[in-house]
Amino acid sequence: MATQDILRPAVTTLEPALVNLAPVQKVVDLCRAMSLWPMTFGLACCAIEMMAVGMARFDIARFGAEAFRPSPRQSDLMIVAGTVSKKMAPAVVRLYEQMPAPKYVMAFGNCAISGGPFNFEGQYGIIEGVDQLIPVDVFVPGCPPRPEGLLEGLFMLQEKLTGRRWWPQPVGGEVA
Amino acid sequence: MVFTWLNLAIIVCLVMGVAFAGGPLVGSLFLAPKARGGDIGMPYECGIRPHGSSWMRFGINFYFYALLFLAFDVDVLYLFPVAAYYPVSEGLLPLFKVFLFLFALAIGCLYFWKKGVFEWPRKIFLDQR
Amino acid sequence: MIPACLAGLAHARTVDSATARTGFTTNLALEPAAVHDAAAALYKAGYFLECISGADFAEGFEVLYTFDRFEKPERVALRTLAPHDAPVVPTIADIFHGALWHERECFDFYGVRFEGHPSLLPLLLPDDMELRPLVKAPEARKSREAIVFQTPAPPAAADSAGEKAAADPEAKAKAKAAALAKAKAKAAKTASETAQAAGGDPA
Repeated sequence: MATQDILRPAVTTLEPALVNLAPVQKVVDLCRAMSLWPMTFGLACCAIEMMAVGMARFDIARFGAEAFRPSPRQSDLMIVAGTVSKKMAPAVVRLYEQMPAPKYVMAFGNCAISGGPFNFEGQYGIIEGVDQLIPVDVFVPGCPPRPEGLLEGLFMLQEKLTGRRWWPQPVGGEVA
Repeated sequence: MVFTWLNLAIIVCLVMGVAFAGGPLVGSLFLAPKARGGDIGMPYECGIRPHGSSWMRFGINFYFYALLFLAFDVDVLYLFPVAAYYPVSEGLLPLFKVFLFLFALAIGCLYFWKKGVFEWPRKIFLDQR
Repeated sequence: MIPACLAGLAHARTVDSATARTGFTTNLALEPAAVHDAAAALYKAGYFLECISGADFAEGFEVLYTFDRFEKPERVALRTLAPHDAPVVPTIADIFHGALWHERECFDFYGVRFEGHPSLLPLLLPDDMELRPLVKAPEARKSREAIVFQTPAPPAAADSAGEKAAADPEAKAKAKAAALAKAKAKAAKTASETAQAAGGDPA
């Protein structure tokens, strides 16, 4: 690399929309929630689960998020699936900053939440939790989480955007 | 010039086409929040700082295709008035003239065929960076 | 058992170890200067490079090259020792191109520089990291003689306790037996510690 990147957390300021009427934004948020376009950011083993979600058995296309865009310019959900090393961290930050608003982040898997199995005294090369660098909206725990876990994380994000959950709760999965 | 319903329909179609393409752009201008700051303006290169030139040199083979296109495009342009006049022409002489013109085009096409522009070369040597 | 291509290497020291234990049919310790020629001989004989790994011993950084063949399983290990203050080893990347990244990783984690390597950049760690993670603290380094060559460590030299030298011949015998059986400096230490505990009571 020619120039070296200084690792710093993401700096993004979000300006609200010009037309900020609540009913209009509610409708627009509903449209956004039902067609979130994830950015493929599979770094490690959790990427396999993310791929499984895109395939026929667990099918994320039912919920609108089939179009996985590799470019941040065309995506609005960044699924950080895997371990973020210190060498990769400036790229994560830069890609997050290059996403246009509105943008959301899902920390998928233990490594993205807290460093996972690599969280120990004397860790020299792994970022212990991607929320040290970018603001995270949904955390999906697991090592790796099941593909249904990613879907539940998507539903929680949709709930965050629109205010309610749109899909039935799985039997036995109701939070008391 | 008479302004008929057909003219209006064509104009409405044009306006709708522009609105279909430009409407979402204008809509996002008004309805979407804006993200600023950081590296949002940096050209995207997979998360790394872009290095190297963004201009690339084309292979010299493409010159042939540009030339071919130009030549045949001009020939087609000359064929438009021929096509307009042909229904009102009389006798076999216009047909003979058209065929003479097309023969000249075909000679040019044959020349380029023998030169090999319809084969894609095996090795394309691009400049090393 | 040294393959014919490596016969005649100066200063090659064979590591006595059973193939069944280590998996190597040939296990040689070389000087850094001899590594390049040995690798060239192995390349000509049809071996491929499996891995380049390292270890941090008290005597210096050991760089371990493992080679193998496709036709029949025959793993060859070459070890060199680079001193701690100037860890430089000639590169074999011009013979085995796969060594380019292995040597970068070795440099990344130990700081061993490979002379003649075209681009010795960090492979896995950030470019600006000064810390070499696998380099041990000086007091935690083990003896290469004890671990690799399995020489039983002399009980006086192995421990920091000074009164060890005075301890009984039975401690020495116990240490030797333990070292031959387990072949680890740690084993010698624990054996001599128990001997010290046992020998301290009657003394």
